[in-house]
Amino acid sequence: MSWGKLAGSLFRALAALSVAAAFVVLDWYPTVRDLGRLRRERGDWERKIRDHGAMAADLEFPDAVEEERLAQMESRTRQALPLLDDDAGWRAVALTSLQQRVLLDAIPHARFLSGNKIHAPELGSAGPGRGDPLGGWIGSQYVAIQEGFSRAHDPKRYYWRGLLTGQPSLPGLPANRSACVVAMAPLPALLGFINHVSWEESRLEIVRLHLEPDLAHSRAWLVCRSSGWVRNPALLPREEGEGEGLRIDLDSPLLLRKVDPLPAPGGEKRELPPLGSPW
Amino acid sequence: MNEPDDRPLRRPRRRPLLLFLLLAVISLLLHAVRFSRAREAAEMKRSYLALVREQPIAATKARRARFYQLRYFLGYPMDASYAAADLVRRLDGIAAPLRLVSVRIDPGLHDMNFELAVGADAVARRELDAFLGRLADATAAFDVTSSPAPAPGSESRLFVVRGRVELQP
Repeated sequence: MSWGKLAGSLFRALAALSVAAAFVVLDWYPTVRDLGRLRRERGDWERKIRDHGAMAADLEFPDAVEEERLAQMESRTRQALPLLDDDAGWRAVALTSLQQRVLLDAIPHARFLSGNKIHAPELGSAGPGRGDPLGGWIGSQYVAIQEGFSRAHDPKRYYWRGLLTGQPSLPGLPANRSACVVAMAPLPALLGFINHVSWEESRLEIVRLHLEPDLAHSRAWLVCRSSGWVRNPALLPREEGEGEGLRIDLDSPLLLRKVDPLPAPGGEKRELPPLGSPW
Repeated sequence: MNEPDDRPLRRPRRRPLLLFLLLAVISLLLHAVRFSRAREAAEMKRSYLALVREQPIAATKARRARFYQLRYFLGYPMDASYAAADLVRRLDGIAAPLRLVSVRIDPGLHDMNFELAVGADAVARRELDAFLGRLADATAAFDVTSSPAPAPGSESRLFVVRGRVELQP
C-alpha cells in the first residue's frame, strides 16, 4: 500500500469519526439527556397521581352542608368586628361597650384609658361624686400601663392580620386599637368583669392584666386590643406589620373531615365557677 | 490487438453515505422515543391537573384550615379573658397561707405568661415550696421559676413566681 492510499484511508476514517462524533455531541447526547428528564418527569406525575388518589380516598369532600358552614363562618367574621370610621368612632364603641359591662357587673369604680394621653372618663356604677379611689393608683401604675400599651402596639403580637386580609367582599381593612380599663371591685365581681370584658361589641382582647387582690376591693388594670374594619387605609398605622400568625398543620387529620358545626353565636361565653370552687 | 483491462472495476464510494444514513436513523429513533415520552409526560400532567380540578384536596384543606383559624380568632378574646380570670381565681384559692400581692398575666396565642408576687410572714421557703406544688396541681403551670424579691412596706418576705399556663387547658 502506497503512502498516498494510506493517507487517504486515514483521512476518510477521521472524517467518518468526525461525523459520528458530531451526531453524538450535537444530537444524541441532548436527546438522551431529555429522555432521562422526561422519564423522571413522568415518574413524578405518576407519583403525584398515586398520592392524590391515596389522599382523596381519606378525604371527605365538601357537601352542601359544609359549604354553608364555611360561608357562614366568613359572614360571621365580617359581622363580628365593628366598622370604624375613625379613632373617635372606635373610642365611642369601646366606651359604650365598657359602660354597659361595668353597669351589668356592678363595678363601683372603673376608668377607661386610651393611648398615651389618658382619656379617663369615670364609668363606675358608684356614680360621680363618690371620691376617686383609682386616680392615685393609676398614677402609680402609669409606667407599667405604658409598657402594656407597648406590648399591645407590637405588630408581632397581632396574630390576625394575615387571617383578615386577602379575602373578597370584606367590609374594609383590618385595624386594631388598644385601650386600658382600670377597675376596682370586690374580687368575685372584678373577676366576673375581667371574664366579661370581651363579650361586648368591641371584643376586647386582653393583652396584659395586672391585678392586686384585696379583701375589700381588688384593683386591676387591663390593656386590651380590639380589632375592627376600617374603610380608610390612611387610618392604618404605617408600622403595622405581619404578626406571628396562626399556624395550622395542613397534614392534620382534622382537615380530612368535614368541618364541625358552628358554635352558636355567643356560645363561647362561659361564666367562672364561684371563688373557692374546686378545679 | 486490444489488451484485456486488468484494473479492478472502481465501485462507487457508498460507505460514507451508509454511515451517515445509519447515524441519521439512530437519531430519528431517539427523537421518536423522546417525542413519545414527552407525550406521555404531558398526558400524565393533564390527568393530574384534571384530578386536582375535580378533587381539589389542597384547596379543601386550605378552606377548612381557614374555618378553624377564624373560629379560633372569633373565640380568642373570650377564651383569653376567661383563662386570665380563671387563673386569678385558682391562684386566690391556693395562695393561703401566703398572700397574693399582685398578679400579672400576658395572654399569648396559645398560652399565658404569668408573674405573681406572693408575700410570706415566716418559714417562707417551706411555704413557697408547698405553694408551688399546689400551683402545679391547680393550674398545670409549666416553666415555673421563683425568686425572692425586695419586700415593700409591711411584707416580711416577698417572692416572685413566673410561669406559663395553657390558654385552653
